[in-house]
Amino acid sequence: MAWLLIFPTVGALVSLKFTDPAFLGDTAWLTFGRLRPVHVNGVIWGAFSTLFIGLCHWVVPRLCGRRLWRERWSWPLLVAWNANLVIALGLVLAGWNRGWEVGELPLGNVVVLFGALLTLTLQMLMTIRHRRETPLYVSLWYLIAALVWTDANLILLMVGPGHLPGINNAAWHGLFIHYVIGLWITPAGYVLIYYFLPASLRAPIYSHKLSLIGFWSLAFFYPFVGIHHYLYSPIADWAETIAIVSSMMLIVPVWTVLQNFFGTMIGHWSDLGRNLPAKFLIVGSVLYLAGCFQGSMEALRSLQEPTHFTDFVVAHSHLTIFGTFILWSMAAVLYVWPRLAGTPLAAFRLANWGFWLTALGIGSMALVLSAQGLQQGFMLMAGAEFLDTVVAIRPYWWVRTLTGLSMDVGMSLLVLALMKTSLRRPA
Amino acid sequence: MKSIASLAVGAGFGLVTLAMFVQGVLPMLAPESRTRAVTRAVRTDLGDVKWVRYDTADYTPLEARGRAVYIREGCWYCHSQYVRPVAGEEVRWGPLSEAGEYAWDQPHLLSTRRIGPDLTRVGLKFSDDWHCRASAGSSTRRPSRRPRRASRPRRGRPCDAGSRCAPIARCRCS
Repeated sequence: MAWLLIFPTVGALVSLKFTDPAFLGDTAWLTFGRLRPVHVNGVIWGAFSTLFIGLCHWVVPRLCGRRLWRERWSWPLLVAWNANLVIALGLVLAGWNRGWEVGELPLGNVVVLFGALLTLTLQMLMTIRHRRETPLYVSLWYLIAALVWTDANLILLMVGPGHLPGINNAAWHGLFIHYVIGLWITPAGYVLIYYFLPASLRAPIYSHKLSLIGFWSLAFFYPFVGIHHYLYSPIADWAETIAIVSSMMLIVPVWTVLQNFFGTMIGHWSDLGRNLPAKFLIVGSVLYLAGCFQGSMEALRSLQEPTHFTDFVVAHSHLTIFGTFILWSMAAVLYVWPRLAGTPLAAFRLANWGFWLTALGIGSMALVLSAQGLQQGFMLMAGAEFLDTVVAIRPYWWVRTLTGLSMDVGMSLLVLALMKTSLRRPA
Repeated sequence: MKSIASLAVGAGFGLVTLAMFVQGVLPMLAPESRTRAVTRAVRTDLGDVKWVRYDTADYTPLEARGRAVYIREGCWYCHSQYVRPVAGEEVRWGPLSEAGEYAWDQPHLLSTRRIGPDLTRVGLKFSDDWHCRASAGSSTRRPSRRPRRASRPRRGRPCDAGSRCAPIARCRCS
């Protein structure tokens, strides 16, 4: 079991290291059009998803009380997943782009991705079906849902870009983008925090009722939000309005799960300083509160008027994807890795520096980009020359590059601390 | 909750199918979302301006090639083709986007970020080297890569609203 886990996680960290420098795409304008999809897809499918699948190999057997179903499939799956990703990103760099934001990977690679995810779904569902523990823990609800949702969403990605004509192509694309975020990354992140927060604190989750409300409200509202990416477009107004209303309603699942996490912390706040996994999880949760509130607000027509097409939206996506989900998965890795190595985390100070650089980096990036987006949006509404607005936001972009660097360095320090841990002889 | 089936079928399948139907299929059923008709201003022989509705045609091979370049090079990460009815965009970029203008677009290229200007209405306003001159004039001094040809055929009505052009400087990219 241990071997099975270490290597997925190594693979994940390697991909994390190679995708993150794409933050530097800020300054490499000349290849921006090619690098941007690599950054976005690399972070989603490479950094986050690979980490997540690796961590599932730890979480699921423990919650089910049995080894993984068809454990021997996991190795080929790992190889196929990562090789496919490398090839796909290489092809994107070579100019293969399907023209759907977040869905740029070439069709062949999407098919392989789909096959790999289907295999994983089968493995996980069979493991859960033959579990020895009767209750189905919250993490597993989210896992089942995330896998089924994303299998369906990848079918949409396979047929969508080339077969849906006209403005409906945009409507379906909006749905697709937000299914990647809301029906893959979000529930996957919840799988992690619902397991690793109680585990790292050795405390039960705060409220079962809140977990139920959180899960079903997410499942009910999230599938409807996609079209908020294209408000004020020729897509039917009623469809846009439904998307806005459900975006606002997302406050329900977000605040219930967060109350569950902060509630779990009651009585354990004093341990937070030394408990790195919990620290990452809780800071991620605070950023999630901020990021999701921003997200619901910017779905409103009145706020979208200035902020759409600006970096305000980019601030939101970094705050949630990096600030929440990447931080949560780093927390999980910090929890799992020392246990696999059979030795406590080496270099706590190093990892703690990593934590602060990462957290301050993403926090200031979100502030800077939000401010910048608002400035550009309101300048344009006031009738400023377009070029003047671009010149005006340039200083913010410098700060953004610095914050991105800080996140990269922080992450590298964490990886270094983990490497030191595995190199240390088990006591 | 103890049943895998209720989770997988109910949440995983049922609710998403419902959402896809309401937000994806229903809008498609509305005929106005599938229309090819766009509005265009024409000047009659007598000199008055008349608004006519006409159907857009599919891309010519040359136009389709331009579109392929636009997609391949990721021009659409920085340029939108989507004029909204708010924030003074009609004055800035030209007449509103209509559903019919996107009838032949697979994939669509509305875009979500403007690091450069909207491109819906530039085709009939400027000559082919406009992109080159416009971006060279920006004080960021980093022109985006020069497209091999004008990136998208403009089949909308010609723009008569006064959108101002970017300052022109020495061309750096050709």
